[in-house]
Amino acid sequence: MAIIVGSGDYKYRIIENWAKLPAGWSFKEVGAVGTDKNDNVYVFNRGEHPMMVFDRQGNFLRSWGEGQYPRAHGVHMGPDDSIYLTDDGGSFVRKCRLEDGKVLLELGVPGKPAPYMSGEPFHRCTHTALSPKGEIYVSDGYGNSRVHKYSPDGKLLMSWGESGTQPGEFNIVHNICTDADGWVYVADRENHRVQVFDGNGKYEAQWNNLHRPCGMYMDFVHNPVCFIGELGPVQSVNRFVGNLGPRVSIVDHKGNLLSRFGDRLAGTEATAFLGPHGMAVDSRGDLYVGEVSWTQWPQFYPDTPRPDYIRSLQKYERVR
Amino acid sequence: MAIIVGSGDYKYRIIENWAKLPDGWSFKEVAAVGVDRNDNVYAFSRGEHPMMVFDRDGNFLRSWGEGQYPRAHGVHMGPDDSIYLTDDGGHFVRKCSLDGKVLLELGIPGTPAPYLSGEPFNRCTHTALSPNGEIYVSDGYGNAKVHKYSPDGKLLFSWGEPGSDPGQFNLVHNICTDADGWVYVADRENHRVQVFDGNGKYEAQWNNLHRPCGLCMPYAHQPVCYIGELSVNRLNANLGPRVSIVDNQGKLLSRIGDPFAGTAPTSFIGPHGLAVDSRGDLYVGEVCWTLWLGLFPGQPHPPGLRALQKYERIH
Repeated sequence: MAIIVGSGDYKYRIIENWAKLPAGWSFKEVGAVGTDKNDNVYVFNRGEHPMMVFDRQGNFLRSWGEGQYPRAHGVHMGPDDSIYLTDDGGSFVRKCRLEDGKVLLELGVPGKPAPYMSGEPFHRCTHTALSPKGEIYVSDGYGNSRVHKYSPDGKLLMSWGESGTQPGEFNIVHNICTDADGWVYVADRENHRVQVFDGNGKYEAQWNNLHRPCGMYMDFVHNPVCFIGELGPVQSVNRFVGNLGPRVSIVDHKGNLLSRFGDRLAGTEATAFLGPHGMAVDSRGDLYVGEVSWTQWPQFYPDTPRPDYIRSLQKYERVR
Repeated sequence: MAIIVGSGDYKYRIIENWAKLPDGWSFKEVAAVGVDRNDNVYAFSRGEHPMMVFDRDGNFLRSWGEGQYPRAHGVHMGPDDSIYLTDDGGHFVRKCSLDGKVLLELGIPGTPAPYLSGEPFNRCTHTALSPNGEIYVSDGYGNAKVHKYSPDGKLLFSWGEPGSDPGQFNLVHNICTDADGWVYVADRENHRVQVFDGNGKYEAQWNNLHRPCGLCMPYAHQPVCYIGELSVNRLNANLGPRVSIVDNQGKLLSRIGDPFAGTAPTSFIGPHGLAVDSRGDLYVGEVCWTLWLGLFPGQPHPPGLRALQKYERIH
């Protein structure tokens, strides 16, 4: 019995238990996901094998990065068969080769965060995106309120942002993506909004009506839609209010809601989420959602031990 | 040495230790404040004397309500020398004379409606009046509703549901109105104020706020709005607690508060209830006990934590 979620032009069939992991392996939880031009899927996770690669049927292809990534956080796919990985635990960004994870470029000093809120790169950086010219934006992050822009070869060009709630200010810069027109979209998570900037960091607009927008994905095209993973309410005053996430929202490039899925409250059912943190869409429009389910569990269920297995990745096949 | 806070047209001189309480009395914490037409100040608190009244110089006039208000939350001043009190712990709203006689009661004290049932009330938070004297009640911690009552207390209709879309709420914490009939709702955990017409039709929202908690508006055409904002912790700067003054479209005019929560006169812990008198002087009540633990984990409550401060407007 197929489970269909979403609405309008963005409906999906849930593919349960999609990833076929080697026996005894675990993602633990998934920080981010990417897909390459062959629709292979790169799962950047917080288990013992930080990068696991699958084909679109979920068959395991290879792993890499063992011991090299303290806390997986962000994935961005480069146009040149490269993958940009952001590790917030290690406070670094690496551009890697797809097949084996060979490091082509490294930003930041692994294990050496800049002073907290210094504005200097990085303190628990979260994600990357590329400008139309290949310049690298880094969202930074948990311990800074900044976006940094680097040349394609890793020279720091400029930074913007500070702590606060005004336009251009941030309250946990959690994700970043770009489009083919050069606009930069920043998930300003704890301000409950996405801010839009031009390539020079000039504030252009904000999207509201979101709840803790956490993960983002956009195709690199003109006026793309944006896939947004939203975290749920975890305060004692609003944990059970409902209809606030965790969920996935699909909005147009002005932030208007097109489709949304997820149950009323957090959960482990196929239709529910715990922490939709990383998203990717392949050439067919199929969606992959990685979740930080281990981290989120105690925030929703402080008195219930975490089950041995909870889902941290699911495939959503687009229904046309 | 006067301490001046705010900016532009909204600058204030801080009046420290303004309230002269009877010996041994304490506010504990102040949820809400109101000012009558004589500029007397009504401090609705969570101490043993829920309502204490002062003149504008801070001289104690009287108290009332002892034993009648489990958890003070909201104050709205009526135009007919009345005061509307909202008690979230008791799930009720009372219209009282200025000496505390109950003139009207909404809800059943001590008997909440089921959680998220939409029925009045589950930890209601505040009231405001329409130009016709109808009563709006924000409700609250355990509902996601605004209720509208006739002046004599008949429920007319309700709106709102849980969520983050326009017209949906994530902790409806405060409500105020203006002379044009617009209704302003502090949608606290959605970090915004939503604006509705008198029929509950969504009109606009104000963003760029952090957990807007207390609202106060002079009852006028296109008034400014005084907003108390809460913080989460003391880690990151410029996220409250603070008081923001915005124009009728939500544009920031002035802001008071240090970059981080604190006990200095210029900083806040939990600015929860605000009132402005005929001279433009501002009173800010704070839920300093409730929020202390989250902001200063592991540190015991200092004695005499400030719960109310006066800010004298500089014209």
